[in-house]
Amino acid sequence: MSITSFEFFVMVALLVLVYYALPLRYRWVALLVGNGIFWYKGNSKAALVIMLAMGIVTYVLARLLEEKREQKGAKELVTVGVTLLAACMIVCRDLGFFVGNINGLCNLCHIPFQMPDVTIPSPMGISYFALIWIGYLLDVYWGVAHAEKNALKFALFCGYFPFMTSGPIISFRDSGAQITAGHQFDYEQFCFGLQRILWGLMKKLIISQRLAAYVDLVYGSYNTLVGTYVLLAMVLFVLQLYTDFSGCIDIVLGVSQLFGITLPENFDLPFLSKNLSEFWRRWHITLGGWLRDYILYPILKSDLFQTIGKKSKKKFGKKFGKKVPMWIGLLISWFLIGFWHGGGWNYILGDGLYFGILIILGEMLEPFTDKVIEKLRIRTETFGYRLFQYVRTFVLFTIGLSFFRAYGGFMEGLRIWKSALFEFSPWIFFDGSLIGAGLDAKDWNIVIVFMAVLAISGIIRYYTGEQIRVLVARQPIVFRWLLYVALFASVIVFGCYGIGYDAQSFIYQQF
Amino acid sequence: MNVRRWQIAKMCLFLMILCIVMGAISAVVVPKYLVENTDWPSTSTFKQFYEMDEDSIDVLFIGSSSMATDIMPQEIYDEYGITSYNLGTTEQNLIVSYYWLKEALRFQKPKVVVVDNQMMFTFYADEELNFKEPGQRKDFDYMKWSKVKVEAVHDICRIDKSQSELSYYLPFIRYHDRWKELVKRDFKYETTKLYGYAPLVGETPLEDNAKSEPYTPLRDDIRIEDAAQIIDETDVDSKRHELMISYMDKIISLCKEQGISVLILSSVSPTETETRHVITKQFAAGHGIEFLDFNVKQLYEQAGLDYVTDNYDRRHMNVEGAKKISSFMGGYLMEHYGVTPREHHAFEETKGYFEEFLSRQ
Repeated sequence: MSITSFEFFVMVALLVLVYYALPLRYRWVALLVGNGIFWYKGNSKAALVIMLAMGIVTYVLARLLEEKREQKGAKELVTVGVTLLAACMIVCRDLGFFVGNINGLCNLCHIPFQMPDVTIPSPMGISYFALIWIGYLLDVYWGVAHAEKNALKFALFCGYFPFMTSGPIISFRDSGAQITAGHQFDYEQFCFGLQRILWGLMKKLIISQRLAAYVDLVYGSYNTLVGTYVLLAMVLFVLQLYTDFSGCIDIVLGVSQLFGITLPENFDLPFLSKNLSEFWRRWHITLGGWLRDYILYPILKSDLFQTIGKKSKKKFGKKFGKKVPMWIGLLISWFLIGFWHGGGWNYILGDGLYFGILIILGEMLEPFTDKVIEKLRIRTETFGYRLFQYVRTFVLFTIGLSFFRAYGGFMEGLRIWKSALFEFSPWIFFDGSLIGAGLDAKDWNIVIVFMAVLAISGIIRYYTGEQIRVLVARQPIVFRWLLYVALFASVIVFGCYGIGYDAQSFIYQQF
Repeated sequence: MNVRRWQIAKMCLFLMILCIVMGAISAVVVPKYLVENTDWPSTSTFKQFYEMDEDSIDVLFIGSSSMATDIMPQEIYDEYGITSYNLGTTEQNLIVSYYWLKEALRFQKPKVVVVDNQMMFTFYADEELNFKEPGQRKDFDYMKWSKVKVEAVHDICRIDKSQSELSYYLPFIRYHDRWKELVKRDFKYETTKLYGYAPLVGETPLEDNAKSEPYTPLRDDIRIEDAAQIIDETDVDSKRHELMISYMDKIISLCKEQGISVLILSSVSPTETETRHVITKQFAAGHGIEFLDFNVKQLYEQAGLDYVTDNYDRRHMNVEGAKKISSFMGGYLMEHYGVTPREHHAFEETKGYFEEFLSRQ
């Protein structure tokens, strides 16, 4: 069940009615029913069995960990749990990647061995819930969260239906109690939730789906559509991905708000970032937070890394040497980010290590760049310089994402770049060449208008520090309602859905 | 009023506004097939049907494009005084015909129903409904909501899983993409200039004449007993479509329940083969009803048809052909089905409009 489908919204509407009709202490049951419907609709029987088995193992291990937290065997238990969940995720999603690489290696070494290509049914949202459940086990092990005793409440948290398709990656310690508790009806939050859903639908159905038409066309025929067509497709893919993913998150957060649940934000104006470190603190925030809490920090605290730190300080000096373990930890984290995005070298290199290396280089070269800025007397507090920083970050991100979008693999990413640099053809913006390239003139106009709406709302938020819906809520009711009705009408008229459009898959669903 | 009640009232009011917006958008984006913008004005046919006075129609013609083009109810009225309506529309499959017949019977009590046999045969083997979805879809958009339409929509979506039932209730789901082609007509239109009546009474008049080779009608002595020898199994265009035939059964049953006579008709076309003729003849005989095939030499000549001058596009009759078939049918219905003439003010008042309409074609 897609979270942009009418079926989904009908289900949510019914759940809302049931939720608030139930006594406060039983309201969570309505959400559990929602989980059941969502899991059943979104999974094959085999995938459902795998998911339930993973859930049962997590529940039992968490209970055991709670009991044995300070005792012998707890470390082994958590290791088994984390390994099992990670292995399930990797096997279900990325078995093909390993088989392909092993077979490729065998071919390269002339070893007469080929592994059969086996497909394991992948439960919907395994990329998200596996990380959430791993975090849950670790939190219980570290004693920062208690294991949920009620198996049904555990089932509600661990398979909370809104986050199953595209996150955010929540933690039990922050969101567990919220999801499993009953909430009073809060009119203001309810309205904000509805508005946020509508905003998400606008991003997803009006902008992202249209951009996808152009991007898919160009990436599918980069041999004939060369030069600026490809460069534009790379830029538009970033916008497509942003509107798709953040639109989806808006819907997830909005739906949760209808039930009085506030989930963590996943995006915070990422295109207004001065550098890549900041960008990744604003883009897919919960993934970064998960890796920081459950991978990077534990790695840095490990005995091995403490030893590396001591040795590097001796060798490279205190200032530089203390950063070495952090950089190694960052590279491991970025490798995992890339791998999590998909089993393929284009993801590992383009969406993982590439960013890790750039961030580390940025830190390493910081003293040098600071000197250059000083020598050239560049005024870094000016708008012009900030704009340069935003554009630079966007360009660097776009380069990485161009490999991410090369679904054919890393080598295809290189071929696409070769096509992009084949010729500089700016005339396509003026001679009408873009009209008909996946989108007609009216579609381009719609994209421009709604991207402008999005940009303006972002700028207002940046300068006022307030969400646009909070500002709108202070306006007179007639003006407010006119805006809501206009947005609603825009979504149902200009949205790409129904016959002829496939609004089923969010880009992030496949990872 | 306390705060909670005020909030609930606001939410209800806002929900009502959204419903009105959805309704208004649907009304605008649903395609309009009017005499002003198409040769096949199915919107006019269906909308105008509701303009007719109740119980004012004695004969109902229903079926695919052949029926739509071949029968001119005004011509029949002008010549014989028989009141009829032509609910035939392009690409109308027999499921649509069945439900439109059901719908028509809510308002009219015809003595005779005439159905064409085109859709008893396979058009698109890979289409669940024998025809592409848009062809069927446009026939339902202008049906009024009632139990009949609810049943029809449910039935169609049960058969054709690719269709969304919800999109019939909220047509913008199906047609919102049309925002790019909206014109003044989509916001403001009339199905007829003589609002209140149905000046074309469902007729789809086509003036042109396609140049064609001389046409040889089917022989007169095609007998059911010889069906096994006649039926050509290799002729894919003459293959029975079982689902459609099951709905033809339903049409006949419904008419028999209501005491209405049924008659199957086949239009003149080279695509009408002996196989199709004998299959339809067998079917009609099985139900004890009559089958009139204008492709058979005797009937072709009795009606005074000349395919070369009377065809529009080799499949349909033009106005000349339609006049001849209508004239023949009027007499035949009067003579064999006891349909009697009656004066009706709507038909009287649209006489002039019809003549004027034909003169500008």
